[in-house]
Amino acid sequence: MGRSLARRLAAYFQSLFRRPTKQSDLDEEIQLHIDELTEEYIADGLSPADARKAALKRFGSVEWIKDDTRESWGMQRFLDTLRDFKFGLRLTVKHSTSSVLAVVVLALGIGISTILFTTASKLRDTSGGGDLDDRQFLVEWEVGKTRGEPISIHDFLHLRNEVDSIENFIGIQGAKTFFHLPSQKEDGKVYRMARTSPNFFDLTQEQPEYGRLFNAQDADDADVRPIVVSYSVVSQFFDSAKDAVGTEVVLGDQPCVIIGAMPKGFAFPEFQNIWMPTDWSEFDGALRSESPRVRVTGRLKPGFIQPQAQAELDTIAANLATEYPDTNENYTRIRLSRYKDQFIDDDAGVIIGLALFGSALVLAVACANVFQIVIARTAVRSHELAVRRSLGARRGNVIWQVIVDGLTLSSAGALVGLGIAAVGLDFLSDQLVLFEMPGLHTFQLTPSAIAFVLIAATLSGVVSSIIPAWRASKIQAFDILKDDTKSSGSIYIGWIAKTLVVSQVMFSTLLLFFSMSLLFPSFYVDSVKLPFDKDSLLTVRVGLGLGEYSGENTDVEGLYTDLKNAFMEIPGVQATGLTTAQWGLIGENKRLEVEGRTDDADARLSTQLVVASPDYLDAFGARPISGRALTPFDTKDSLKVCMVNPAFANFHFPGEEAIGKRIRIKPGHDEWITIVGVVPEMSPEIPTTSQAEARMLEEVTTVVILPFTQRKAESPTLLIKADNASHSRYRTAVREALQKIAPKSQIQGSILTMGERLDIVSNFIQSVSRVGQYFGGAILAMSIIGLYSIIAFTTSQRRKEIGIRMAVGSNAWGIAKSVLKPWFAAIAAGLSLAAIAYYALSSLQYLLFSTTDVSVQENLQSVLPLVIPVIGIVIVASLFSMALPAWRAIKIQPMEVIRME
Amino acid sequence: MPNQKKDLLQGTLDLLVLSVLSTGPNHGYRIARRIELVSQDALKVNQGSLYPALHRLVTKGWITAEWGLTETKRKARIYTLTETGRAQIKEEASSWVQFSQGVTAVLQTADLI
Repeated sequence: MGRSLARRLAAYFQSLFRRPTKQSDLDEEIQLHIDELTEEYIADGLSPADARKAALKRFGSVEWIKDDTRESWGMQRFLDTLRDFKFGLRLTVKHSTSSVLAVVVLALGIGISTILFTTASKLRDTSGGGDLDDRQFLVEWEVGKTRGEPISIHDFLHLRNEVDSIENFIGIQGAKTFFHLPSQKEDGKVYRMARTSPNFFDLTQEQPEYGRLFNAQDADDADVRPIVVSYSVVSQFFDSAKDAVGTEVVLGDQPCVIIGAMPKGFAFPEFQNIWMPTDWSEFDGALRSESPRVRVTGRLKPGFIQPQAQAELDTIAANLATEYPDTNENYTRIRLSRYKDQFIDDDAGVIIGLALFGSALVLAVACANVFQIVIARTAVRSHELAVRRSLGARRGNVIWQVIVDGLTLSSAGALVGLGIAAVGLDFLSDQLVLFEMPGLHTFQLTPSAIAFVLIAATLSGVVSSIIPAWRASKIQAFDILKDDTKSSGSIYIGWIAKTLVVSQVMFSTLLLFFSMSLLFPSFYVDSVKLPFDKDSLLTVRVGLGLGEYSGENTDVEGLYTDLKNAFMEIPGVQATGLTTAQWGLIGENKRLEVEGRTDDADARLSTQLVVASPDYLDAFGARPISGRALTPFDTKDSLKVCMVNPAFANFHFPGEEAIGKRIRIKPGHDEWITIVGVVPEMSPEIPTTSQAEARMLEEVTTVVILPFTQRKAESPTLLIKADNASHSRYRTAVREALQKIAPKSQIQGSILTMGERLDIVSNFIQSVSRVGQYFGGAILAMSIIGLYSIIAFTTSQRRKEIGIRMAVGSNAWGIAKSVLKPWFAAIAAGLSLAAIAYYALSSLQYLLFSTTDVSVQENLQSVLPLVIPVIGIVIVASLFSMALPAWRAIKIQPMEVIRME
Repeated sequence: MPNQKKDLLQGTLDLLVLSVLSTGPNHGYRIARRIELVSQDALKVNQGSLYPALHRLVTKGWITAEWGLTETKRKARIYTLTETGRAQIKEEASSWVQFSQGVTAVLQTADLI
């Protein structure tokens, strides 16, 4: 057995080196055999020609026999494949124009779909820069069917000690902290931090850029606590990660030392910038009722399944409820959910779905285009393939040869596509680097993306060539010889090619709709006009730290009075205001009930709820349109009042006076609130293209403003109206005033004017728009190349016919018309289908996200502004693709074509 | 099923070739004619199908091939049985006899022969 295997292997290797000799030996041997047979027939009395014919018949198909014989030499399939690829490469070089077109289309298709796939994978698998294990679970109390509550530190420590089925328990407690270098408190900054178990970084396996991560000893209570910091902290306070590590810093009043700096983009789990280890021993002996809550996560031990862990945790929870009824009475069941899923909300799910769908769509468009190109190349080779078949080549061999041609093209496309994906992902990372999106800063080619490229290349190579290969294998030499023109036409697959043109135009147009929709917001942002001077309004969001407030008043009202007095002393400050609205404008979305309107539709309506100080309007330099503004007399104990914006008044009380009407924020629970004033619109006007869009927007832009004495205002935004508010002296003065009056208050984010904030949004939208432009450009390029290939190919098939038409007097216009006419219908069908699909998607959007009915006409009004330019672009691109083949057709010389025949 | 048939035919052809070569070295055309002659044309197949079998047997090491001259002084590849091949004939022949006896027994039971 062993010897036999060794002999075979030896024969394989021998065959590799002696192949040409063996081949010629076989040829000679077969020739000799046929000669002997011929002579035998001649001796029997046949003429030499008949004898030869009879000998060949008795011998059998020479090519098949050679193929079968070669297979016995070993390594045959491998060598054949190598030979086919070599031949494929020769074809690629020989038909350089179609090769370049196919490679460009495939490279764009594979590149873009890899970018989309990587984006989807990144969103799906990571958050804050870490890849999470599927066996890592979030452990929390179950309250209701869909909600969980964090676990108290006492219960967490109890679970950690008692549970057998889960290991690597990690507690995470979020907090905000004021970070500064020793003796440079004035330059400090508030950051989100996480106090965690020392094994926290096991979750993500992310390694520090410099320094080290926590070990078990780090959790001990030390005078100088070790911390790990993010890239943001390093770039704000140090020259490099190396400089940061080992430096003593201060968090609040606690001296700390930086032991590690994480790489750019790592902000796990929720936008954290600083991580401090703890073994939670500070809570030993503390009351259970005062035990803070922490996020708890743990990994399922090998050999255990989730239901086992669930049963064990539920038993422990029930025991805790019996043992500590005061704190645990309502917590009898633990909820286990995959930790990874915590980072994927519904929106992310939609984006992931869209990205994967887009990735498949782009690949499909590329395949359709390459299909056309491979048909054209195969048609050119139809003579050669037919001759091979007539000489006895098997059908499978011919099919494989054409598929190898497709695979050669797709391999080259994959290589270039990989480069495009790498550059594209770099570009995407650069666009997103400015924004606080943890985990989404570092898009790069991962092993799974490379695997995707390989699969995509193989699939697109095979899919785009299988049908041309099948048709090519059916070509008969007889047909070729009978009629030269028809022969190459026999490879042409009429209805499939037209269907592909229709679907290619449809998919490309749909993708262009998508890319154009990314451009639209940038047009809007450039034209946005605020109803107040955006450069004279400074905004700062502050965590007030009321418990530590050193003034006489301990509520927001008192603290704000002191802050206002301080701010007004700053030269140039004209007015101040306080509001819970982000940026001073964007309220919290709440559902509300309008008195006397109890039907379901109204009960579902939501509005932006803004809590504000009485001087809120002053900061914008605005006055109520009707009724009155909030006043200091609207106190906690007085009548509950509110102001509304015109959108709210028009939406709920069209044609009626809003003043005096009453609303409730939480239907059936809170007190009625009386509308006392209507304020002017503070937000910029959003241009709409239809009444339906306007109605949808009207609903989401309704605003209710409540006095801060009657509703909680945690982490409010302070508004300071001043001349030239972007001047740095205001920022310094605001920081100093806050430090002096409320030293424990924390500035969240940066102190910026409204204009500066708009610039940030504008930059973001411009970046997204740029991504859209490149995406759209690439799709358009693919579309043009695909259309050009098929039209050029079919035109070349009709050279003879065109020549004859011209010879009998057809003019250039008639020729051009005859060349282009068949494609107009296919392109028009593709465009129509794309428009219908887009209209349907748009209707679905209204159906899912709007509570108002939208008529067909209204929906049409909203889609047309996007549909018309995109269809226009596709038509121009299509005409451009058709121009060269049409030009070539009218330049055909009839005499040349006829002579050729 | 077609593959099994092919394997069966391949195996049979190998045995026939080895049997012919056991009487002395020969070239392709002569081997084919010899098989036709001895089997009284019962095993008449395309003569070319002999070559894959010959090359397969060379790869297995059961026969060798060398260029030589035919009796009519023409250049030809002469195949010779090796010692391994000679030992293999016995095994192959015994399997074949066993197989054909089995088939005969079945046909006899069914009163078909």
